[in-house]
Amino acid sequence: MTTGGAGLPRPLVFLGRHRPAVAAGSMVVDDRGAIPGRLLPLLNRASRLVLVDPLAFPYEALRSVDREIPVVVALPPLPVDEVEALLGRPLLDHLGPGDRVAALPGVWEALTARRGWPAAMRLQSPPDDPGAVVAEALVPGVVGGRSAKEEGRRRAQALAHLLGWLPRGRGPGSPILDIGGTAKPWSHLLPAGLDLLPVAASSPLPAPHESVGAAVAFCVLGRLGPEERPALVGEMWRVVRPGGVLAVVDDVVPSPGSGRARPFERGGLPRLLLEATGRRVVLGRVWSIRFPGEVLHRGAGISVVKVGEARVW
Amino acid sequence: MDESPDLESLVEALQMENDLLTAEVAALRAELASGRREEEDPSARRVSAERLERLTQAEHDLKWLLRRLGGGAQGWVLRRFRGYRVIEDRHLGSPRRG
Repeated sequence: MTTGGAGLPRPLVFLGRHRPAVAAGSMVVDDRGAIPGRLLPLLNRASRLVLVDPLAFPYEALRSVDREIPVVVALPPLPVDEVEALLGRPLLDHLGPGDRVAALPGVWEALTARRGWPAAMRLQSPPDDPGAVVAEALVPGVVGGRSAKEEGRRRAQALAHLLGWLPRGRGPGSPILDIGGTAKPWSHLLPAGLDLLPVAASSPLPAPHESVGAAVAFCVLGRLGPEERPALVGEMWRVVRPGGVLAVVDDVVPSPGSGRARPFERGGLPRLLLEATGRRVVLGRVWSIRFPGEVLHRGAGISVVKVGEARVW
Repeated sequence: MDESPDLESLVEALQMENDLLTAEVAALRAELASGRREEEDPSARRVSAERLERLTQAEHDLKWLLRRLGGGAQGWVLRRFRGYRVIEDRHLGSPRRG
């Protein structure tokens, strides 16, 4: 069964073997329609992908561009190890803060601990009630659009570039302090094997002097007041070992049409990194980010390397 | 006209974007130059801290092994081989003469 015609982007609901009622206006596919050739034109127009029966979905049909589609999924009521074994590579490894997940409490807690998913990713409906999952998944605003998810993905790709040369695993480059815990949910887009340690975005940071290989502020500094930023960057410098990396990803250029509101002054982020560290850093990498449908490069990833003797507090 | 503040903010946004792209190009140039230096001068090649730690550990292990082999009853037999004498000389510095 495949319903829904051409036109504006609409939700694509994959029912698989279930038969819940689906509100009009969605493209609906059951297990007989789960053929890559039939799915591709529907995926091109999908505003979100609702997987009611994720075990029956043909993931090989998804191209890399289809991974930009926000996903709402009801995980099967199985032990978490089985869920990971069955859906880890094809689905869970691609989910992040732009997606929503309905899962049994034990499964949700285990997955959150492993993957650092934020609580906002959780769907309230029980995963074994397809009707409730579909109803909640189709509520406007329950997930953002493709562009919102893609913005997050591009920021994460910038972070991946900044951290790309760090050693993997629990070696000299680890752990990596994830300030605010905002980078860990994007682990699936970061280099494999990085040991991210989420901590609260507070000053002082809960880590001893020179105890980590890198500190990451992923979309954190822009949310803080200008008076709080130097203290946090100073703390990042304190906890990173000499030779380690301070990596920052944020939106630095104001969006045209947003009035005078702007996250940073002109040159504000590099100046912050230099001044808050007493200029005891050298420039590492810079990565500009242009978001979908925008003209200007609005986001930036900047990494600096800590040099010199440690400051003694 | 009421467009001047918008135009002003657009110009400022363009200037900020220009600063960002200029910094990115400078960083990429520096990275490229660093790569070229490493190609031209192998001694400038960076060794990661992890690799350095492994190499140091391997050297310690080798020295320990040579001492154990050379100090045992079979040491004089091993030293009859030129290759062993070279390795012992290279890593222990003062080869025992058996």
